[in-house]
Amino acid sequence: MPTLLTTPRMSPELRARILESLHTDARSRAGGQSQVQGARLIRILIVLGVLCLGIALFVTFKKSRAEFARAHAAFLTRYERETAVFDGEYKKRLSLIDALLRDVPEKYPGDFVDPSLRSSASELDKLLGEPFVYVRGPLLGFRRQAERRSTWKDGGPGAFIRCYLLPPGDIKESTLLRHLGKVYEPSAFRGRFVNVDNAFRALSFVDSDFEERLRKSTLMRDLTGLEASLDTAHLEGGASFERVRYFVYVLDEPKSQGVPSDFDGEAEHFLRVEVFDLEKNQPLYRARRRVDPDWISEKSRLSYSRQLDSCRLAFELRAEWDAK
Amino acid sequence: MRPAKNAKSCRRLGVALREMHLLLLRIAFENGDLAREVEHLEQPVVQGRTMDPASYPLVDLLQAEPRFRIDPESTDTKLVFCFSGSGAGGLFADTLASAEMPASDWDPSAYVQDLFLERFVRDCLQGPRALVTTSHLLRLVANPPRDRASVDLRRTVLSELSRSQTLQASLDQLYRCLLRLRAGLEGSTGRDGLGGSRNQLDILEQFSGVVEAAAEFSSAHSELRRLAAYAEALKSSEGYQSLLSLLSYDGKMATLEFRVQVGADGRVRHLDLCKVEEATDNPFVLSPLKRWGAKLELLARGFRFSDGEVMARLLDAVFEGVRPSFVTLVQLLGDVEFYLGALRFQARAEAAGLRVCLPEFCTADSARELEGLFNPLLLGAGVKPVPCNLRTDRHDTTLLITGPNSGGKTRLLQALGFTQLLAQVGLFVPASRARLFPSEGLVVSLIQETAADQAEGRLGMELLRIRQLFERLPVGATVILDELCSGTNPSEGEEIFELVVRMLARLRPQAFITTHFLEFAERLEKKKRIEGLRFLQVELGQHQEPTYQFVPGVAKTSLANHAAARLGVTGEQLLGLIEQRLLAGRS
Repeated sequence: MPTLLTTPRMSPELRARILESLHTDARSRAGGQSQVQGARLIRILIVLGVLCLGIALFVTFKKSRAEFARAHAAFLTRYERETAVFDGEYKKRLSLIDALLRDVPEKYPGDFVDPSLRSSASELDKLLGEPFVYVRGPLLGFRRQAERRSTWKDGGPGAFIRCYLLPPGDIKESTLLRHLGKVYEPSAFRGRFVNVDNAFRALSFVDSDFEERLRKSTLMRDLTGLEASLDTAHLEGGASFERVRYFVYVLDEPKSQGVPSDFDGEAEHFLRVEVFDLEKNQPLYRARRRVDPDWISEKSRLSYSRQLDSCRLAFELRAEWDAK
Repeated sequence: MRPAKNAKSCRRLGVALREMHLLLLRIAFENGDLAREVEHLEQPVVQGRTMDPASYPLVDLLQAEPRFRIDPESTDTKLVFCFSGSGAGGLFADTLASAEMPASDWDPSAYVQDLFLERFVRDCLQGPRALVTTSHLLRLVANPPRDRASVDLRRTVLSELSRSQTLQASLDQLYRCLLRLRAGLEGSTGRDGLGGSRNQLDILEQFSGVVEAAAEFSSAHSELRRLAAYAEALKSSEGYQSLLSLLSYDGKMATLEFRVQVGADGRVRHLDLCKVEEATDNPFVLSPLKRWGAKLELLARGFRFSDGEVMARLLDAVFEGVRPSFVTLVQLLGDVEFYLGALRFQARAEAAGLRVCLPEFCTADSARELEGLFNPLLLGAGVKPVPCNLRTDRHDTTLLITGPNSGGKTRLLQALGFTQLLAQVGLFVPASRARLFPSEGLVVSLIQETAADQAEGRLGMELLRIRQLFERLPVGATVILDELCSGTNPSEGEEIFELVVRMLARLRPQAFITTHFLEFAERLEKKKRIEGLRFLQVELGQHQEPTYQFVPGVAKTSLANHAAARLGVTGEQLLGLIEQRLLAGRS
């Protein structure tokens, strides 16, 4: 009867001795007691049971591997689909935004309007009709990366851009106050502004070793964990940046020394407004205007000085544009 | 071929051993497994495999015609039990203690006691390590082989060993390997991490060490080559190749290469498995699936389902392939102790500024020449003996030795006895040069202490010794008698003395006799009444002190007064003692 203890590499004599050893060991051959003992039927049943268990385990294992392979392939497909937008062009435009804010010149280079926009005021409206990136902050407040990231994280579209996109009827204080209430409604401008912080976070996630871990994972437990990580990364937030072409940024120049500030920090100072074409890598519009909250009533200046000033400037810029 | 009588006695020994094993097991163990073993042993012995004794490989370093002096079959059985972890210990010592000795015409009872042979073995032949059994070496030294070719073989081996430091080192290495193997076999308990297999693997490794050590003798010119021949034959056998493969499998089934990345704090940060190399060409390497299958198969076949069981089956099969070659190693250990003992004797003598040699054998009528002869018992006791030269014109003479008390006569007799015995055993003799005639036997009778239960007085005991001497003295033997007939008055003693010497001459012995009957010896010398009688006396220095050298002639005085003075027995000294006692009594 053959045995699993032998191999073809063994000599015939050794194989024969191993076979013999399965029937009688050295001690029994020398007249002692053999180690072979126990009821054979019971042992065979035990072995059969172990074999069945082994086969069942093997089948289960194979099934689980197949299931894992399917889940792994599906997850990889999903990952590749969701990260397809984060290509070189995407990174280039994101870097450009970062560089524009970081390298903004202290000295104003002068007003500028792209010739393509001079033909009609509605050209700019049309251009800003699509989702775009907007940011407002102090002129010298974007020099360090942490400052820029903090602004992206905490900032949102302010009164200026809201009033520019949906201009008030006039610049009376009461009209502007009512108008501000309207433009700050939650449903207003939904989908128009794209949050760059989401883009940065999504890009950081894509650039991590997530894909390598995903490709190397061999356990369903790991796969589940990776899936949870992908879900919490909210790559769709970053993906919206892919459609963005224009970047609008408003920079507050420092106020002059001795000029008093209102409670919300508003004071007489200059504002720079710039619209930049990220695709063509060129400015479309640049203007520098002075704002002064002096015209606002004492009552409103306590709470809305900055918003009223910004809304008025938006109105004036639009009016200025229309006059051209 | 082994005589039928031996085979029969060996079978009887086997049955006796089995019964003893059974008894010991019954006494010592009462747990389930061993109780079953006892039960099993009570059944008739399995006659499954009996080997022809001639089929056991044999290395015999002591006899010209190689022959087992131990019983190979019963030793084989005991080895199997030891390997299986059921040995009772004492395999080597018991087997060697009961080993036969090469056929000898000498009767050890005639000299072992009076020559203090056991002390010689213990003090001069035994090294820093205790012998496996002293009795085996003692019996080897006490039994000069009848076969002259065997003596020549031993002399050739010793001669080569004494010339070659390399071979001495190889022999010592072989001895150490044999001792390790012995420790492995006799210390086997059968209980360890691999279910008893670890110890068995160690035993196989130790056996392999012995074979490698034996192979070192391929350059030998003497019969030490038998060791190399044994090793070569074994190495080319399938069984030994399987053994090597199994040891390799145990030691190096696979090789893993890791790359470990350690941080600044010394902790392991990363560990990469770079390479896995399995010894797939080893015949014992099974795939993991097959290993599990093999374990299940063993379970179905009635064995335990354990990690060690697969190894146990492989070990059993591998051991079976080399088992017969183990048997001769038990005998070989005794042989090696014989030669190492001789080398130790040589080294010890040289350390004391003395020399030993292999004597030259000559005819009976040629001169006996012994140069630098010394007493090995003194050497063994840590005393530096004074070597002396001794020459007689022929061997078959009776040499009467006279001289003062404490002049070295008895020490000379012992040295002569050792020289004759060791020469005929094939060992070094305690002399820098020796020319001897082989003797047919040896009888040594030194003055013995009085025993409380002795039946006769001193003279009676002495006469009994003389009677026994003539009862067992073969023709041409060596006779050594110390102070013959000293137990009676000189006139009657001289008569018996002359009778003994006259009768002895008829047996053509090589006789050495000391006596204090100086006038009688002088008369014998002058009158030359007995043929073949020679006379030797202790040489005295300028101040009448013994020089421990011997010159022809009869001594004029026993210098008893010198001995008395040395030991404080002069008249003055005794009177002084008496006065001291009297003074002590008064006070």
